[in-house]
Amino acid sequence: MDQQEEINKELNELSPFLAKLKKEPDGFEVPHNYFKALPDEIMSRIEAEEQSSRSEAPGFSWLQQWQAALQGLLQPQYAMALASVVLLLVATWWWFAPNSAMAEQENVFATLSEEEILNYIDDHIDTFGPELVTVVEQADQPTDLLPALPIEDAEAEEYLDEILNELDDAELEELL
Amino acid sequence: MANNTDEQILQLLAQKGSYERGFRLLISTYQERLYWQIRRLVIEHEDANDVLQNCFIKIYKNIDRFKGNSKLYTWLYRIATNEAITFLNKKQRKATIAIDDEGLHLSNKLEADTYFDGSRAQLQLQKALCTLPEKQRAVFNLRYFEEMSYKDMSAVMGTSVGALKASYHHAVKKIEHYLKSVEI
Repeated sequence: MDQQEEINKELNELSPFLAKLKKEPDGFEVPHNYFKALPDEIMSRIEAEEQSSRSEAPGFSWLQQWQAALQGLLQPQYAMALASVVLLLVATWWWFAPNSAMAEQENVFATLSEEEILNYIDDHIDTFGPELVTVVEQADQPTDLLPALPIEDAEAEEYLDEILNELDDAELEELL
Repeated sequence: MANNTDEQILQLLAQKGSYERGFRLLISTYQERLYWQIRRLVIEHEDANDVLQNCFIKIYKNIDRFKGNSKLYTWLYRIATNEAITFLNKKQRKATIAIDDEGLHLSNKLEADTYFDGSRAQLQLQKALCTLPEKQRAVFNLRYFEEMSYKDMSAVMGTSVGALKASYHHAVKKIEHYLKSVEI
């Protein structure tokens, strides 16, 4: 028994009605000359896809791709947006970037020892204006230090009394 | 299927100079069989045409993966069947059609298809088929329309012969029950 006979016998045993229905055309149709034209159509699609994948291949036209991207960005609507973004970036950098001259000075001071700095100030004290001297003095003085210490007034007075008692007359005179 | 033709196709495809000629021969040999397998699953001609063309493009790109462990035609049927089922699943997801409504949706498409001109009995048969799950429909089509052996069907569907027999017999019973219920 060949394969077709075997399949039909199986179907006939399962459903004689379906076996009978199988002999009729199933009703599906295709457009005229569909199968004749199909191989060419498929080969054209394959060729088009291959061409497209070749042009997208890396290294083939990276310069062309850059040019195309740049040309796209130079379109008026994109150029305005791009210019705004660039301006914003430059302004942000300008605002937050450290002043280079000041940074250089800070670097020079960092290499000096405290003694050298003090000597420099002593030698050039006459050249500093009164405003700068006042500012430096104020910066050197601890402000609002006492309120931060948890010392009661009575304790502070007791401490001062102890110090005063330890001083001899000559030291006291010098202090006053 | 003519094994000689398959051998000729594979020989032509093996050489760069004759690759296109080999592929054209593959298309002309299998286009109709693959078309009908796809068409009976997706129903509409336009959809079948899209799926078939995509299927041949996939075959063109992946023919080097065919190692000759199975017959060329079962390998091709496997790709075509998978493509058609993937297409249906994608379409179902896009259209958010409920699984229960999928059969109704397909049978409505069949009635609207200008390339379907079957008798009332054939229309009802197709409607009955649309009520089956996609894989069972594929199994039924391979046995009933394509008259494929269970062994080859096993290579196409990746399922055991026993499971395919059970699936086909069950499908026949379900279809017969449907057709009796609509009184053909």
